[in-house]
Amino acid sequence: MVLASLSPLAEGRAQDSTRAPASPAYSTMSVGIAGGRTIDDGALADFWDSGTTLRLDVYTRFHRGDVGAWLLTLPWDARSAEQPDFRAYIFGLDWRFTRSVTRWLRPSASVSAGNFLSTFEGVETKGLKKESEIFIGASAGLAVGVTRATSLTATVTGINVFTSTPIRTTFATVGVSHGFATPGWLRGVFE
Amino acid sequence: MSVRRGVRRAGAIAMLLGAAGSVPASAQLTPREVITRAEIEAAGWVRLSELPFAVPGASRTTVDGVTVLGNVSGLPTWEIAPGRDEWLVLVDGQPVQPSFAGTNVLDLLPVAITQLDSVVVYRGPAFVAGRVAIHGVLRLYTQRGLRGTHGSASHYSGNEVGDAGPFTFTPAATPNIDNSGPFHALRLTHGDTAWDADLAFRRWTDNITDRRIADRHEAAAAPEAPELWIRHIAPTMRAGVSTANGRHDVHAGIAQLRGTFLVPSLREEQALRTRQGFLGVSGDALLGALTAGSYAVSVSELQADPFGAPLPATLAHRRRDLGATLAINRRFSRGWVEGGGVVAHQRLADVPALPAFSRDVATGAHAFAAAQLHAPWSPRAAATLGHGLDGARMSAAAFATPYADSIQQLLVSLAAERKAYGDDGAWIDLELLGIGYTATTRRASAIADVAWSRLTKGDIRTTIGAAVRRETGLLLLTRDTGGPPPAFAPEVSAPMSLTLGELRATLDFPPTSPIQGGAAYRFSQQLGGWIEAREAARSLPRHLLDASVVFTAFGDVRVRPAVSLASRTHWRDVGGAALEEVPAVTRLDLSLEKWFFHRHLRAQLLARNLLNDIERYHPLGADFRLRVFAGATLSF
Repeated sequence: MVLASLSPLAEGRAQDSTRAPASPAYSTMSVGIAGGRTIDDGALADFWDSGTTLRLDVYTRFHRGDVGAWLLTLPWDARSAEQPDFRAYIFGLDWRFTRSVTRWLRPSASVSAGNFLSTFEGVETKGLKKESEIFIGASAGLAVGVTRATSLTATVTGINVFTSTPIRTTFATVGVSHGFATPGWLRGVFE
Repeated sequence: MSVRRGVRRAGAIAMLLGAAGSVPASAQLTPREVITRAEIEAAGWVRLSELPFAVPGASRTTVDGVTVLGNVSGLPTWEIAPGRDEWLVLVDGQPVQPSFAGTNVLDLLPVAITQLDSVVVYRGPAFVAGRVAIHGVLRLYTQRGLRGTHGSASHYSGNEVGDAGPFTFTPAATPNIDNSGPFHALRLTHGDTAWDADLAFRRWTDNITDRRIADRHEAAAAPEAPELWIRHIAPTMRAGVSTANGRHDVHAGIAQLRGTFLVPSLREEQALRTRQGFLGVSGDALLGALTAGSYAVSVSELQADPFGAPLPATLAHRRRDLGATLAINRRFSRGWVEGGGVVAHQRLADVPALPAFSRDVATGAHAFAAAQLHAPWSPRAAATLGHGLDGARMSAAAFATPYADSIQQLLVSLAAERKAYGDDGAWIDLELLGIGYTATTRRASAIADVAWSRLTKGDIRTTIGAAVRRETGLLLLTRDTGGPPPAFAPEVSAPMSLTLGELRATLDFPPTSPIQGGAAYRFSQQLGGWIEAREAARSLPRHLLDASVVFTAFGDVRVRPAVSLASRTHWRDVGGAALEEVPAVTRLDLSLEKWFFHRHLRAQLLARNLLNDIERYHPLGADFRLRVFAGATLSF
């Protein structure tokens, strides 16, 4: 999970989102992009090798902490011809709490739940081209502010996919996040 | 008289009509549960067949999550030779029968869950729509008095754990577990002070991928592939007009459900395309300063056709129902009296095996009278007397409040019913099941119910109650497992008796409270009767606890955690000899809702059975594991 620097950094003051927010919910938001690799492939490692991970996320300030959504995608290359390659699209809803250690350093922790979608290559059988599963996860992250609005981020995310053989895998990503005031029209949507 | 004045007067009529009319829930004295629209939304119920799960403390039994067995009263009707020994289902006061062969298909009702204002459930005796209801009432009220033009559209979809996912292509592959849904609902309403109209459309599909069911379907359909999808579609409408003297509504709907279902009493699969059309007119009117009348006339047709793989299709048939209820109510200084009549006719068609003389399967009429006195104990009584195909039928109910003040209330209810077993469609269901005629037996039911409720701090209502139910003339279904095919060889037992006792306690938060919901606990026990009937009643959980709360967090997020606990049950096996155990149910649900666009868009995330424990309600039923649904409703 990317630790987004929401508007507090942009406003030049550190904030602790575990405390009562000084600004109303949805007042600020952030978008982030990151890349990385898996740390642990879990049971999938017996049959597939994971590739490079791309992650996109968007967060907004909530009444407590931040809420957001992230999409993480990565390819899995089969180790034998008996299994097809597949690409995973992992979509999660996230509730994140951050704490300011210094003006520019902000660790965070979050919990998430979502959908683990696998799309298989070369599979034409109806009903087997893609599989959709439920997962829950948790993340820990660190954001380092480089400007008032922009941060470098590092995140470790672990998920547990509720398949018959559980998939427990961990991702590490590094990237960049940019915070800004929520546009009025978008805040109207959130509210 | 102006129309607007007429609208106000229509409200007075509702209060004036005692039993047969569309009496508001608040005017009823009978012990009941009221489930509001807000609670339905917060719980995320998107199908009518989920309503039994919304009733705290009510037994709910299902094999596939779509068909519902039994009723809300606590009688194990799924073990009893089917007929209309079941609950009374009313849509805005119109009786509708969504069942056949002992299986309730609530999705066939001519109303969408999006049209509902509230659901009222009577688990004890009640007098409604000119009928003494012994085995519980499920009463659905649609939203009335709609103003302006409004609409809504919703989409829900779900996913269940346990699929193989990528491991489908490995030696660790397990059978496929597919998604649930999607569930779609559309609604458009328009109204002003004089009239309103409410159009709704619902559609959903569900894939039965539970291996306990799918394996059985595949075996039954072999060598062909079974139909594992359940598909549902239903347009429904209600339109009403308020005149100077009253209110008149018309209900119409066509609901179709296609899929493979289990008939639990026979433990046989049925691949059926079931369609029910309904047209009903109801209303009430002031006939004088203190006199009001109400009426309800309806016609419906249920058609069940076989399709797909050649599974046994003995339930294929067409059933037409005609019904009419007329009531006159007069108020006096010391109370009110009411009288009227009910006429019902049921005819069967497209069942070649059925002799022509037996196609009129339920023709009958009865008169009723009811009264309430403004006197100590507030006594209220009702009685019916009529004649059916197989002889006289009669019923009576009495209600009294020996003690009541602004804080607490003691309510005593007594009700009894006696009829010939051949009445009210019992024959036809037996015929459909391949049993044919049985000797006419006398069927009687009696129930005594005492409830004491008290308002405690914060207007939280606490109720404790006890009930004893006595049933005689019960016919239990068994199957001869020793004979050769055909598979259907059902048998009916000799008439039996059964006595059930029940203790219950409920706690309800007031509707005005920031926290809504409550808890209900029920303990039931067989007190007497034939050993076979007592064993059949062990299919009811002895202990049942439901609790839920709905509260708003942060101003725009609504949260509903709910817990449902039921002790293990025991079911007679196919031959009726041994007992099979179904494990206890421990279910935890969680719903999160968030509004967007200034409350025009409601997004919801639902988790059912969060603990991922075994959730099963029938020995042959599915294991409902952890499943998550996401949905959104857009409204204007």
